[in-house]
Amino acid sequence: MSRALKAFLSLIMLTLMTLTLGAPVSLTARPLEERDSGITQPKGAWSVGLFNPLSWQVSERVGLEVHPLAFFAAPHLTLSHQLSTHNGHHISALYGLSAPSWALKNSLPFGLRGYLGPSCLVNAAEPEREGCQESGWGLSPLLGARWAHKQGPQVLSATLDVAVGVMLSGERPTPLDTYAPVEVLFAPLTNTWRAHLGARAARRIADRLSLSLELNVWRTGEGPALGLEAEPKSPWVLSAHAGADVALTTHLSATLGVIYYNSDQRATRYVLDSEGYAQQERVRSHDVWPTLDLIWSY
Amino acid sequence: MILNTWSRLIAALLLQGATLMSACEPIADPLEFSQDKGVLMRARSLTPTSVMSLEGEEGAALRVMAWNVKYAARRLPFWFDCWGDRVSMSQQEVEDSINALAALINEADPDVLMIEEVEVNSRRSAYYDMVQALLDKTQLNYAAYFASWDSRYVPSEGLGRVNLGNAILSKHRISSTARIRQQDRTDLDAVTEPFYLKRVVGRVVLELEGSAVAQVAAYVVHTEAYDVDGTKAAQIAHIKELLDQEALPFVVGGDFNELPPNAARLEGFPDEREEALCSDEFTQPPYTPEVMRPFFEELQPSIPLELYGDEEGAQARFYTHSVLGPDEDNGRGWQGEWNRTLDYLFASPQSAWRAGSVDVLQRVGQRVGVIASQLNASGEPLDTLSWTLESDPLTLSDHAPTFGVWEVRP
Repeated sequence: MSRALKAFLSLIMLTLMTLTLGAPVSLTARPLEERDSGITQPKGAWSVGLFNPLSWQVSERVGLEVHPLAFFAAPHLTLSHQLSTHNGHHISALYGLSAPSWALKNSLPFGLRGYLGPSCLVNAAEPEREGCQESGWGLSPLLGARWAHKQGPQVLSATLDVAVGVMLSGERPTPLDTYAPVEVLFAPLTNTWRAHLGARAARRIADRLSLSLELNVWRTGEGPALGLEAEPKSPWVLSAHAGADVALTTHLSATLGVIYYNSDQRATRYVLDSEGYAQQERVRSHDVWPTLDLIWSY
Repeated sequence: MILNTWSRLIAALLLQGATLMSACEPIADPLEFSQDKGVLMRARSLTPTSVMSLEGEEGAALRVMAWNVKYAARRLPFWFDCWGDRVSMSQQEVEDSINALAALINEADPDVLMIEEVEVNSRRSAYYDMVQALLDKTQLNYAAYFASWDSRYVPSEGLGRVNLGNAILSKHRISSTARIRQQDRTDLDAVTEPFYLKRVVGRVVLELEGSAVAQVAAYVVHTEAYDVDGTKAAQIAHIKELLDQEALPFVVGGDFNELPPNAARLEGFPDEREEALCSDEFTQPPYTPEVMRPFFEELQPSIPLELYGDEEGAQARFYTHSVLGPDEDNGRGWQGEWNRTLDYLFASPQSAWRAGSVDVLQRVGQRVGVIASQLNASGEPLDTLSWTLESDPLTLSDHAPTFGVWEVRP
């Protein structure tokens, strides 16, 4: 990023912060610290971000989540069902269904065929030639539970869920061996299953500002072998996220933060012996990404 | 939480461009250098070796071979050739291929082997370290690997991680290496360019212990194939400039992606599609064979132009490339067969190729070095080291190896 662009973005951010934080505001539509926690919202409440999902509380106990942008690439839906609320403790069950193979089997704008997987142009025109290594169709049901506890301005929450990939037709696709968020997303399909444990702590430190810290660990199953059997890929993916939510208006908030991923993406490095000869050594990949979004809540 | 995953995925993809700095490993190594070093490797078990001497005079003779091994994909129809849709191989497929490549190498028993399109950690070739494997499966002891394409994830047909390059393997110790950057194409769009392979020249210095010739230099090259902006011509000229500055006796080998100056056929190869079926990204642009002339006129080609001849029938004996293999046809009844020469060996002007030793290893059963003009009075090859090929190069890669015995005098 050029210096000029950095300076320009910084100026915009400062102006935005000054204008919004300096102005009077009534209570936010949803307590900032409750975002992404699993605390059940009032019936009819909804929120949506540019990158964050559309969530809608359809009844006092049932909420739905879907990502509008991603839905067309890989249809999905998660339903949360509140099981109990007692002394600030909220426990919900999670039921989800997604079709990640949709993204591999359809071309833009409804998928990523030809990018994350083969486009099979020859096979389509000349089926007598060797078949294409195309993914079959699969579904990924998810089952999980979420616990949240609110005490004053602080919310603690934890999520445990398991997703499996059920092939309905064709071959199971091989693991993509790429960036952790993408890998985790397709893992039920490519690795047969994915388990996830996440924990989040959020605290409102001012009327307009809350801070959060989130840790996640994923464990994936074994997919079709692509790499060397003697050097299996690590099934563990870790992430840590620190962020801030800033209320801009009653219904609009900004989130910004940074997320770190640690995963095995088949990266290697050369290690030299005492005589200067090299051997490859597998290393885990570390990625740091900014997170930035605008969220509308009603 | 699966929805949160989606959120992060999309945010991550959109912000990728702005956050390349924050990732420890870049999405694609731009290879921003003019010259650095290659990766020096050696076999897990070294084979004792000595330098062949010249009969009756001081000097050294080295068996030299250059081969584009097509990342051990043999004749599998990978998608970019547009005769199939393959995007990856299983570990077993790669291992079988490596064993077959090693078998041919052991037949030829080269002192120096230049290989192109070799991979050391690529998704499509099951993350196999082919350089180390070839060291361990042949009589070759040392290697220098020169990566020319090191991408963390190439989002094209699921290609994924790629680490491809050229290498020089040698029986004799390598004392220094250099990876020399060549110019990039300028005709690629901004999205494709970062992910596209780069081109490098690899140079090593070989120590010929016990020989009157103490050191020689070896180069491996692999120039551009699909440019329409003159990149390949510039790269070939760059290679010639490098060789003109070389102080040691040298040999250069590789896939120049260019026809010899007297090539009888310049276009209309039978394994090119008549109508575009895939993208035109990998369509063969017109060849410009005149760019090879300085190599033939100023260096020692293993197969001089007189040997190639002027007729297509005679030149076929030295063809080194075909897109289609023998088990495929072009839809018009033509089975895959070598149909053009793109791979060469050249040596420094003061050195020579042993008469009767040079050849293109084209097919099983071939008596290597048996070329009409290079037979003795009894019809036998001039080089007594000639042998009959048991491996079938036509099935092992889309390129044939070029071979010769290089003679260097002090």
